[in-house]
Amino acid sequence: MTSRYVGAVSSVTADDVPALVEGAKFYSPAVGDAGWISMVSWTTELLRRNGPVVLVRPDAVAPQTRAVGLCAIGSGAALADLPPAGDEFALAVREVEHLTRRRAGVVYPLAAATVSALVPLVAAAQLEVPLLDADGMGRTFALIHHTSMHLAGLPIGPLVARGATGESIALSVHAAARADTLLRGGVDSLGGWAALAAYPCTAGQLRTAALPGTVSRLINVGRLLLESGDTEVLIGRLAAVAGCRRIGRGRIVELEHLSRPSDVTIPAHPSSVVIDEVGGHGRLMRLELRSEIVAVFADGALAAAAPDLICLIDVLRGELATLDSLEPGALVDVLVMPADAVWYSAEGLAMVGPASHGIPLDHPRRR
Amino acid sequence: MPGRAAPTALVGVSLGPARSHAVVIQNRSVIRSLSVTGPDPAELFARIASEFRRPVAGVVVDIGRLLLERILRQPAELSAVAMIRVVPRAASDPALGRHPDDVIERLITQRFTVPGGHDLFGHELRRLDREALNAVCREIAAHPARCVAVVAAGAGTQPRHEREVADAVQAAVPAARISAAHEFGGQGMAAREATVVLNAALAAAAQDVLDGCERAAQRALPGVPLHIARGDGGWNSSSRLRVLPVLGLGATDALQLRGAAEVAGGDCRVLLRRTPHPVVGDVRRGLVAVRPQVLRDLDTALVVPTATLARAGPEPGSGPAGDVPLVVADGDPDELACIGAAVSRPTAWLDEIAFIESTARLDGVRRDAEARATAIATANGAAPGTADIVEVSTVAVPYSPSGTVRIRVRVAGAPDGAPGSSRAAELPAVTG
Repeated sequence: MTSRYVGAVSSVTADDVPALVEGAKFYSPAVGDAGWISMVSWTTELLRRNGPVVLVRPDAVAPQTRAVGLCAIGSGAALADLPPAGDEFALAVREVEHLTRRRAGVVYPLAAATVSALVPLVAAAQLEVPLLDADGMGRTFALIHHTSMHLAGLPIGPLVARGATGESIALSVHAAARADTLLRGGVDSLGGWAALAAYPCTAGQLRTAALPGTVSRLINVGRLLLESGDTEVLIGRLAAVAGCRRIGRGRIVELEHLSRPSDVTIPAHPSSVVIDEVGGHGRLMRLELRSEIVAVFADGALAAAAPDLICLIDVLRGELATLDSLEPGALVDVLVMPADAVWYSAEGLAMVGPASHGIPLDHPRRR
Repeated sequence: MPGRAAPTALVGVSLGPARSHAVVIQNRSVIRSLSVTGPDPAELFARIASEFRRPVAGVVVDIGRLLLERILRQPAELSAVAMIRVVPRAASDPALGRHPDDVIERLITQRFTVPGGHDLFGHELRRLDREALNAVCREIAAHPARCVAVVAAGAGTQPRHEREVADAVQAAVPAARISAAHEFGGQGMAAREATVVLNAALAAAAQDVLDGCERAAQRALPGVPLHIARGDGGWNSSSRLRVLPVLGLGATDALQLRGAAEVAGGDCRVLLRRTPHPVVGDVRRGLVAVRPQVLRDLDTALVVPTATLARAGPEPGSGPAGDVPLVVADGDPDELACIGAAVSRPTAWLDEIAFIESTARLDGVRRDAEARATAIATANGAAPGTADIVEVSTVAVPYSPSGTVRIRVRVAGAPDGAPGSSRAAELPAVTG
C-alpha cells in the first residue's frame, strides 16, 4: 500500500475509511471492535453511493459558515448491540438547525477518535456538506464539555441527542458541565448511546477554538497502522509521527474493580490493571482505568497520566488491546503519547488531568 | 500376578474435503497415523479398528474444514435462512438493514425486522410488535426457508423478545429449525447475527456430517464416546454440535496449535507455516489462546471464541515471543490437528454484560457466571466435578454507566465416563 498524505484540503473517499478507522481506534484505544462493524460498512457504502466528502480546514471556509459538532455519545457496547437505523446523525443536525434557525454549512467531529470520528463523515455525506478537518478533543474524553471549544468559551448548546429508537432529546443549559448530567439518564433510556449534535458555532470561531488537522491526522496515522504487521516496526513508526513511546512490556496479572472512589457522573467505574514487566527492569506496572487509561504507575511512581494518550498493544496480534478485551496472561506493550498542547495548560489539566480522576499528583510532563 | 494395564488410547480425527486424517495416541506418543482420501470417516474409523486392536477411551473429530467447505464452496448444501432482527425500528439505510459481510448476507433468503428489543441492561426499549411478528410468521410459512435465525437487541441480558419470536415462529411453522442468538452470548449485533445465521445455515450440513461420524464410530468402535471439536480447541458432545454446529468452525486452527504444543512438550507460541504469511498463536496452560473475533477463513466476526492467530514477522520464526518459547510447527498440519483433537478437553465459554454496585456484588456476579459456565461444560460432556475455571476476566465497559462489566469465563473439564473421571489424568496437563 502506498501512503497518500492527506494535506490541508482534501476529500475523504470510501477507500480512506479503513485508515480513518485505524487512526480513530488509535486515538481512543479503549473501545472494542464490536461497535465498529456496522458503522464501518455503512460509512464505506455511503461514501461509495454519495461520493467523497470534502475535508477542509476551518480557515479554508468562509468564517460566517455555520458549523455543528457531532459525536456518538454513550457506550460503544450499546452501539454495537443496537446499531444506528441510519437517520440519527443527520436528523440531530437538522434539529439543532431548527433550534438555532441557522442552516449548517459544515459539520465537524466533537472528538476525532473512536466511532465519533466516523459519524460526522456520515452526516456530511448525507447532508452534502463539507467536513471540517478539526475537532474539540484530539482524542476522546468522557464528558462532552471537555473540549477546546469549551475552553475557548463557546457555548455547548443548544444540543440534540437522537437515539436508534427514533426518539430525541433537545437540551439547553446554562453551564456546559450540566449537559452531561442532564443527558446521561436520557441517553441510557435511548438504548445506551445516541447521536449528539452540539456546539453550534461558526467556522470562524473554530479557527481558534478547535484543534486543527485532527481528521487528516487520523487517516495518516491509520495508514501507518495498516502497513505495519510487526509490533516493533509499528511502535517505531508511531514514535516518529506521533511522539509515541513504550513505557514497558509485560503480562497482565490482575484486573481489579472499584479500585478507587467513584464519581458516578463519569462513565465507567474506576478499575485497575496490574502488569508484570517482562525483561527490562522487571517492574510492576499499575494502570488506573476509567473509560480510558488515566494513569500508569511503574513501581509506584507516576510514569504517565491523562491527558496523555495511553494505550496497550497486544504483542501477539500487533494490534491495540482494547480495555473491554483485557485478560490475565495477555502480553502487552504499554505505550504513551502526548495529547494536544491545550490539555497541558492549567485549565486543561484542571479539567482532564490526573486530579480529575482522583489522583492528586503533579502530571509527569509538568514536573 | 496380574499384568499392568496398558494406558488407554485416544483417537483424534480431522475430516477434510480432499483428505482426512486420524492419529491414535497412547502414553503421549503417536502410535498410529492414518490418512484417507475424501471426507468420509467410515474408512478411517474402520482402519483404526483393524490396525489398533486395543481399548480406545474416546474419539474427537474435527469437522471444521468440512463446515467451512460448505459455506465457501458448496452453499447449495446449506439451509436457506430466514433472518428476523428485533430492534426498535427498521433501518432507514439499506446498508444498515443487512449484514455487513457478504459471506453472511448471501446465506439469507428472507429478512425481516420486528419492532422490539432491550438495552444492554435488559430494559425494554420497545414492546414487541406482535402484529408485525404475526405477519412475519405468515411470510415464513409461505416460503421454503425452514431454518430461522433470530437476533434481538439486548437479548444477551434479556432474551424474552428472542424467545417470544422463536415461539411464535415455531407455532406457525412447526417444522422450522430456529436458532436464537442469546444461546451464544457475546457482544455486538453484527457478530451475534453472523453467528446465528451460520448456525442456522449449517444445520442440515452438520447433521449429514455428524450422522456419518456416528454411523462410522458405531460400526468400527462401538461404545467408544464420540466428541466433536470446537473452534476454541475443546470439544462438545455430538448431540450438542447438532444443535450448535457453528461451534465447530475454526476448530482445525486451534487443534493444530494445540497439537504442535503437545509435540513440543509444553506451553509455547506456535508458528504455523501458512501461505501467503506464517501465523502465530499461543498455547497457555495446555489450552489455546482464544477470543471472540473475526474468523480468518470467513472474514466475519463471530461471538464464539476461536484461536487467536496473528501474522508472523517477515522472517519465519521471528517475531515477539515474549517470555514463552517459539515453536515452529514443522509436522504435517493434519496430523497436528489430530494430535490436538486427541488431547483436547470438553470446554465451555461465557461472555456477557453485568452490572455491579460493589466488589461484593462483583464476587457474586463472577461466582454466578462461573457456575453457569461449569454447568454448560458439563452439558457439553465434561464429567461432573472435573470442570476447572481456566480463565476468567471481568473488565469495566468503557463509556458505559459506572458499574457495567463484561465478564468472560472459560471452563475446561475431563470427559464424562473417563476412568478416574479424567482423561487429563492419562495425558497430564501440559505445562510450560
